[in-house]
Amino acid sequence: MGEVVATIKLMPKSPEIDINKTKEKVERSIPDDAELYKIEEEPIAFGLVALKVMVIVGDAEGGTEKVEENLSNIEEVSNIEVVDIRRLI
Amino acid sequence: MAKEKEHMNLAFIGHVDHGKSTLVGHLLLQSGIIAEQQLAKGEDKFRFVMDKLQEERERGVTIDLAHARFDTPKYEFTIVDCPGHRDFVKNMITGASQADAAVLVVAADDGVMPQTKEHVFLARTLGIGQLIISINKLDLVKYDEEKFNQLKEDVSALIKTVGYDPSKIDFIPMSAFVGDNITKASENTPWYKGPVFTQSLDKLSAPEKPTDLPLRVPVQDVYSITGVGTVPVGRVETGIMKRGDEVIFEPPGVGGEVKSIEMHHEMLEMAEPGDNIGFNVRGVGKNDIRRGDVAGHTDTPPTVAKEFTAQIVVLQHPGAITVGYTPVFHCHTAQVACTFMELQKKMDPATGEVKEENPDFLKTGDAAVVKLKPTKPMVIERIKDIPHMGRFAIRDMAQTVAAGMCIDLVPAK
Repeated sequence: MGEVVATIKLMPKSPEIDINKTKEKVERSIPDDAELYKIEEEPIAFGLVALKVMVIVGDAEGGTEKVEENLSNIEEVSNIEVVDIRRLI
Repeated sequence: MAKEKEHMNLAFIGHVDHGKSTLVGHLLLQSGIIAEQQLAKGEDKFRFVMDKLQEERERGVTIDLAHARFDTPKYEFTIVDCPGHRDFVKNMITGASQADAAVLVVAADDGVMPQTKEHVFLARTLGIGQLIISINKLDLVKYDEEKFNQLKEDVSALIKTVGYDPSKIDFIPMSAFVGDNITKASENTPWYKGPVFTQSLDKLSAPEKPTDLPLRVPVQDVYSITGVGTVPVGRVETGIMKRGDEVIFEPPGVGGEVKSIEMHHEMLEMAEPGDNIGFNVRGVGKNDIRRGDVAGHTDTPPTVAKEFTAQIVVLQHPGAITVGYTPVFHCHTAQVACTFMELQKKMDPATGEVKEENPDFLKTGDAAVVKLKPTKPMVIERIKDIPHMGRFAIRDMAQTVAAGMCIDLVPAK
C-alpha cells in the first residue's frame, strides 16, 4: 500500500490565539490510523502564525480526509490546506 | 565560486506497481543520497538498502529521503513520488507543490493501465509541460526491443491525446531494480542509443516563474487585524503585486489600493508567484471579501464565469454522471457547486478520438468535454490563459469523482 507524508497548513482564527494550546489540540486530533511527525510554525503576516503539520497516512482510500476533518474542527483554526503530499520510499 | 544550480521539482507518476519507488530509491542510491552500506557488490546492495529502510521505519530518515535533493551536472532536483490512490488527487490539484517536470513510469510487463492514463491526464491538468517516460521492468521481458518499441507507441498515442508531443520526449528503457540506464548506459540494452535517465533530466528546461501572466491571488482567508485593518491572506499564483497597485477582488467586484504587503512578518515592496502573503487594501472591509475570491489588477481583473466548458476525466463514480448533476468543484481556494449542463463529447482516453457525441451519461474512466454552470459566481480562467487558475477537482460523497481543466468560458460580465 505504501505511505504518504502530507504537510497540512493550518491558518489561525486570529493573531491572538494561543499557539501552544493549538498545537496540543493538533496532537490530540490525529486519528488512530495516522501518525503525527512534526508541527512547525510559519509566520505569515501582521502577527498571523500558521502551523505546518506533517502527518503520515496510508496511500489508500480516504487519503488525508479524516485528518483534514479533525484539524478543521479545532476551535482556533480558521481553515486548512494540504500544501504538499508525497509517498515515502 | 560556482553559480548555484537551478532547482526543479520532479514528480514521479504512473501506476503504483510499476516501480516508481524502486526508481526513486535507486536514483537516490546512485546519487549518493542513500548511503551505501557495507555489503557485497551487485544489485543485492540496493535491495538491502531498501529492505533496511523499510524495516527500520526510522521516520526521520524516510521522511528526509522523501524530501531529498540530488544533483545532476545542470540542476538540483527534489523528487515528489506521487501517491497512487485517487483520494489524493484533490490535494495534488489544489496544493501548492508544483512539479516542473514529471517522470511517467510504465512497466514493460504490464503496459498502459487505467492509472497510467489518469496520471497522464492529471500531469497535463497540473500544468506539467515536460515529461520523461521510463519504460521500466525491462528485465522482466528479457530486454526485448520489440516490447519496448510497442509500449513506446502505446504511450505516445496516450500522451498525444492531452497535447504532449512524443517526438520531443525521451523514452528510456530501464530496469529500476537492476539499475539499467539510470546514470550509465546498460549493457543489457545495446540496441538503445538515446540518453540515460540522468542525461535526460539535464535536457529539461528550467522553470520560469509566471510573472508575465496577470496577477492572481486566490484568497485563502480574511482577517481583521487591530491597527492594520482588513488583511486577506493567500498565495500569489501568477503575476506581481506591488505596493500602491490598484487591485480588485472578484466575484464581489470590490477593490482599492494595496497599502501594505507582508510575508514571514516582513514588509514587502512586491510579491511574486509562490509567495504566501497577507496584504491590506484601502477601502475593502472584512465582510466585503471571503475565501475563494480572487485578487487581480483592476485593468486585468479575474474572470467570473457564467458558464464554462471543461475537459474532465471521471476518476471514480459509483453510478453515472448525467445532465443536471451538481457536485462541488474545488478550484484554487473556491468551492462552488456546478451543474452539468451538456455532455458534449466522450473521448477514448487512450487515443483522444471522439467516441460519442452528446453521450447520455459518463462513468468511471471516461474522458469528456462538458459544459458547466456554477450555482453562484465563481472565478475560473481558461487553462491556456492562466493554467494555475483553470484546473479543478470535482468532489462528491467525500470522494474526488473527477478532475479537469477549463478550456473555454462565457464571462459573467
